[in-house]
Amino acid sequence: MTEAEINEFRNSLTELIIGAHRADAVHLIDKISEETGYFVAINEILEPVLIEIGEMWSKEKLSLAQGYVAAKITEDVLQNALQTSDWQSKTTINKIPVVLANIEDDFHSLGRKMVATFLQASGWQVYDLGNDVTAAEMVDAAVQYQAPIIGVSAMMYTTAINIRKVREEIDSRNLQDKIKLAVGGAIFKVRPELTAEVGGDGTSSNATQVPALFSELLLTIKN
Amino acid sequence: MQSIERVFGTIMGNPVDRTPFTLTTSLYGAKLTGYLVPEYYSDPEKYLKGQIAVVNEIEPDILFSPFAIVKEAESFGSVSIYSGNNPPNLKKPAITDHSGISSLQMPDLENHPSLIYLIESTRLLSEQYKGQIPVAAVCTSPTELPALIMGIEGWLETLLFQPKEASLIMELTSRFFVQFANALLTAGAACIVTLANFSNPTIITRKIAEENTIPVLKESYAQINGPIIFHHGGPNIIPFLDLYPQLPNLAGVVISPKDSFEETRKIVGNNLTIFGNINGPQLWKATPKIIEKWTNNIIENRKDDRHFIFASSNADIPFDTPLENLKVIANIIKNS
Ligand code: B12
Repeated sequence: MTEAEINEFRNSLTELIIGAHRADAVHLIDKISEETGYFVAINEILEPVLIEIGEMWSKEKLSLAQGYVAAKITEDVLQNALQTSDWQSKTTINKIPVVLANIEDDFHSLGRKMVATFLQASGWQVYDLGNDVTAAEMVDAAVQYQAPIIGVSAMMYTTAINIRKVREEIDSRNLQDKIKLAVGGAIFKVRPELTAEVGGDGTSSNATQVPALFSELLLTIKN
Repeated sequence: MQSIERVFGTIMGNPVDRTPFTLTTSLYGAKLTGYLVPEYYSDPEKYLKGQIAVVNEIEPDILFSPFAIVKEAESFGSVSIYSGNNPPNLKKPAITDHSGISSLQMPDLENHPSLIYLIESTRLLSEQYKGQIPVAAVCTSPTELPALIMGIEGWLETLLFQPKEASLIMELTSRFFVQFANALLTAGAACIVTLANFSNPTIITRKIAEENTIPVLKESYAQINGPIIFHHGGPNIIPFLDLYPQLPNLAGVVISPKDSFEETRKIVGNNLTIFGNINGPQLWKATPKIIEKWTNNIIENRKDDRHFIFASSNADIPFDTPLENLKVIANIIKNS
């Protein structure tokens, strides 16, 4: 692809996502991948577009509906990509495992699922433990999968404060240098100081920006 | 002047003795009385006592029926959970995707315990303050209730990609909305406050508003036997605000702290009452001095506006908010 073609594809894809044209957007990536393979189509076209969408979203220029469409398109594309040897051969090595969950008593799964989708598209190996997960279960899973990051989601204040238990669990097992704690969900957007209050190592306000956050957190791990 | 005269005088644009005010102190009544949150949201007598405590401490000009919207969804089969000092939350939606819509049934308004609680609380509260303080009954909009019946994910998926099923569930929630809101009015509520997050630009697009949700709101609002206050629930509404003033029976809009009064006035014209816009969920952490400043700024900004009611915006005032912080607001307004 030439630079001009890349830009044109990115612009078209952005428009399709913003307009909520799910099938057309997926079709566009499929078409591109016929020529380049999914690995290049996802890395060169989809990913940069998702970063741009994330920026618009964080400035409240896009709605949840559009963020949701972006996640669904990504999910559809990943599903198609997974069936190709091109994607499999280029992504199975060096995938970094991460653990995701909604905290104990929290059942608001949409945010977490969107986070999982964008992380997978960026090449992370996601172990999604689901809703209402205890601190011990999360840390056990992180140890088992050798995940350097646990991402915890919560929508309400009263459930978010349960995340402190994850902090305590990590610290009491002396894993604070090996496992970083990312936190997020609606309440973190309206109470920004909550990240520190629950002992989180970082947060981000929308799902498309989570891969960048995780990459940053990874750099702070001491081996 | 009684609160009810002050509030409806303002809505009609008649001169009143001072700006009316209200705070979203539905949950806060539990704090003032010491009732456990789950019992407060299931026993109308306890809810009444909580709101009497609110009146004794703050004397707002408008009171609210229970702001616990998951209770409406319980009547469709959703399951809720209590954690800490928060209103109930959705634990398990009645259905998870559009395939379940046809199995949903119209709730029984007279026999479902959650609805009995909401209606009975409204009735007790309205009787208690009859002729004195109007009760605004909280009612989830028919475009929003599906998020609590099928989860926000199920609802987004349906709204975006399954237009026929989206109409089907909104037809049901509209029928429910009309019957439920009218029952609350019959129970003595002076007006209805509809929560409608699925009307604001952070949740949906303008196209969805125009094509999918506004037609539903128009049709259902027209069948309500009383005034409606529109609450968009989100951080801002201005970009879509022009779409809403034409809704039938609309008496006012609640704006949020991010929305400007001047812009709102420009868009809605001079006759619609604006409610707002101190940040309710943030009152717990601000100092009385800061709250005083916020309050004075709002009062100063609206001093020539005949159709203005001072109100807290966004969701509930949190349980951990010091009473002193709410009294500051009440005192400034009562002395204005
Ligand atoms: C839409 C909305 C609703 C809708 C639907 C909610 C739902 N999900 O079921 C309705 C109207 C039904 C609703 C009802 C209520 N709501 Co509400 N609601 C909101 C609103 C506006 C958005 C929440 C949402 O679902 N967003 C969509 C999801 C996908 O976004 P998200 O969770 O933020 O996740 C994103 C990011 O945070 C991030 N992320 C998520 N997880 C993670 C994890 C990691 C590790 C990272 C890095 C990032 C990350 O990526 C996601 C995608 O971008 C918020 C305010 C706000 N501005 O966020 C209030 C809010 C959550 N609601 C609130 C309240 C109080 C309620 C009610 C209790 C009101 C009542 N008294 O009845 C009820 C409870 C009903 C329920 N849900 O069980 C309060 C909670 C306050 C508190 N003290 O906890 C909020 C914060 C509003 C406020 N300003 O105070 N609500």
